Amino acid sequence: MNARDAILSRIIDAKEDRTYQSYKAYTSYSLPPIERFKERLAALGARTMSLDEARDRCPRPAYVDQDIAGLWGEPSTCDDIWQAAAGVTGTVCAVAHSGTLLVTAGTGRKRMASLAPPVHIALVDKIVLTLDQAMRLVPQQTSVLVTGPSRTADIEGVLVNGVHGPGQLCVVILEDCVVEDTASGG
Amino acid sequence: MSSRVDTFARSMPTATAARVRRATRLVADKRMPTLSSVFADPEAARTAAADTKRYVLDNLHRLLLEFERNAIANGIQVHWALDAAEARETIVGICERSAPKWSIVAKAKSMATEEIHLNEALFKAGYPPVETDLGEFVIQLDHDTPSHIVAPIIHKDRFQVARSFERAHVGPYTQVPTELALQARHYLRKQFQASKIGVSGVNFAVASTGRIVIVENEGNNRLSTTAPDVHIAVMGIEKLLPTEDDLALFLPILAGSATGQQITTYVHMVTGPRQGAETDGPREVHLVLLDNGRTDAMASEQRDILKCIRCGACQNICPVYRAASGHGYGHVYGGPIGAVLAPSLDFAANRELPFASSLCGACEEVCPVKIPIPDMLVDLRTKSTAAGSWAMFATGATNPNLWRAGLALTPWLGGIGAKASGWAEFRDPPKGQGDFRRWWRERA
Repeated sequence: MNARDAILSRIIDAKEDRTYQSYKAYTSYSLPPIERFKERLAALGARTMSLDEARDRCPRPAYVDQDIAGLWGEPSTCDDIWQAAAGVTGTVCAVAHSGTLLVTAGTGRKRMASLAPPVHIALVDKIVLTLDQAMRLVPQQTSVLVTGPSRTADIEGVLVNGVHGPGQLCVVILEDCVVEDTASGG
Repeated sequence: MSSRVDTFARSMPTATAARVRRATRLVADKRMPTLSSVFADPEAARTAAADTKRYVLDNLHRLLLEFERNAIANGIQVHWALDAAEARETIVGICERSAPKWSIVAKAKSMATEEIHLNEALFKAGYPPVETDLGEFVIQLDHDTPSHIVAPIIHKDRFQVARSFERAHVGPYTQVPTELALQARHYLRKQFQASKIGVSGVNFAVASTGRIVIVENEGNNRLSTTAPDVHIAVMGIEKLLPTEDDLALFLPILAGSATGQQITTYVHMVTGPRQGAETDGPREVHLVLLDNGRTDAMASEQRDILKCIRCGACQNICPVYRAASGHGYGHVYGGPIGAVLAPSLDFAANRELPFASSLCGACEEVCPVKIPIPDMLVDLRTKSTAAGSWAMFATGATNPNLWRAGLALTPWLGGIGAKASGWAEFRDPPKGQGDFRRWWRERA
């Protein structure tokens, strides 16, 4: 008998197939969702700025994901992600409640774009209210939730940004950004 | 009390003890305010998390098969390992097939790989692992072991880290934590670029989508599992969740309980290797499903311990852990969770650990999945006592007069015990510490 069959034969499932009740009632907030999102980002040490400002201040050379190069207004000037001073990516959506970005892999994008360069610039065109709403939008591809810059508190609990991932996270909320509330399950 | 833990706590330098106490208290104090800032009712969230994990254990057979089917469809290569040796063999085998000898293995922090002592096996096989989490990197440089399941160098200070980095030529001596962290970033970047294989643990595996989910703050885990050509993940079979929807509860409850964050900086949801025209990401993703005593624990009174999501909240709150650190327990899993989990996975080697508790109940109160740790400790004590020479200790410990007499006699008893039986193997009696009650009376 191989390990798979041995392990499965040793697991005794309970006779009754009970269900379970999940819980996703988050705290409410009074701010409009975009303001809440900005407030969370600021608390996490991330910055928000306009598209023009981000493009002006973006360190070069920058790697830019192909699918948002048009929106960004500038082609990628660095294809070696280890050498890029910044990585510019799109997002599937952002979460107002937690200040989280949902970034996904795929053709024309690099998984390392939001990770290897010291600066990550993320363009947001859709904001959902809560984490459970974002979980329903996670694409089939490998994806990542990003909440603030890379950090560690391993040395005496002192917070240090940028230990392995980007030390600076810059979020651009695009002018035509939509706020979606899918709480009704829509 | 357990002697292993007792003795260690007494031998711990005052400064180390103070650091552990301060760091654990800091995180423990942030837990409830954070959970309250996320969930409308944190208690209801804990109840739901416990209920979900109970469902997972009750349906594990079916969920594992559902997960395996979906993971394979995603392109993940699934392996099963009955014990630590089989897991190590499988991982070394993958290394040998995918990279020349002496290739570096980028290693992300993982308790499962600690549990199976993977690093030694990789070294022996000629695939040197480099720990890339800042804390684990320091542990590896110092030939030390992690003392906390979330904060591995909770027992060290910045000066010790600086000396280790200077000695290992990571960077010049500095007392600034930011500079130390950036020295590690610079040093480990080169390792990521050179590594052909990355090894990680898993926090959650989602049955309905076949995805593995890994949480972290530094980004070293994403680098370890994205930059090399081959990603090998190791997970205990109990880590399943039915659907991705469940992550909306488990991600915040794990982060809030572990570090006092609303959610970790990164939540890496790995579907599989690079697809189509993607230009980065691993070409192969392997997943090792590890039993290593878990199916035995499932069939035992300690079944609920498999609900554990490794947040470390019980360690942070525990007065015994705070006094002894994880090292006191002499097992990769220390603290209340370790006192149950270690003997549940390997009873003979860890049967004294259930005695390392005052049964104050704080661990159960903070546990995000409501594991009744104190009840389990009492059960395990009974089992331990019934298992042999512990009867003598149990009688002594439950009868105050005998206990006092025993303490007075301990200098003698140690010598006798060592010769007379296996007693001293597990328990070095306290050495002439005097009468605690008398000391307490005088102090009060």
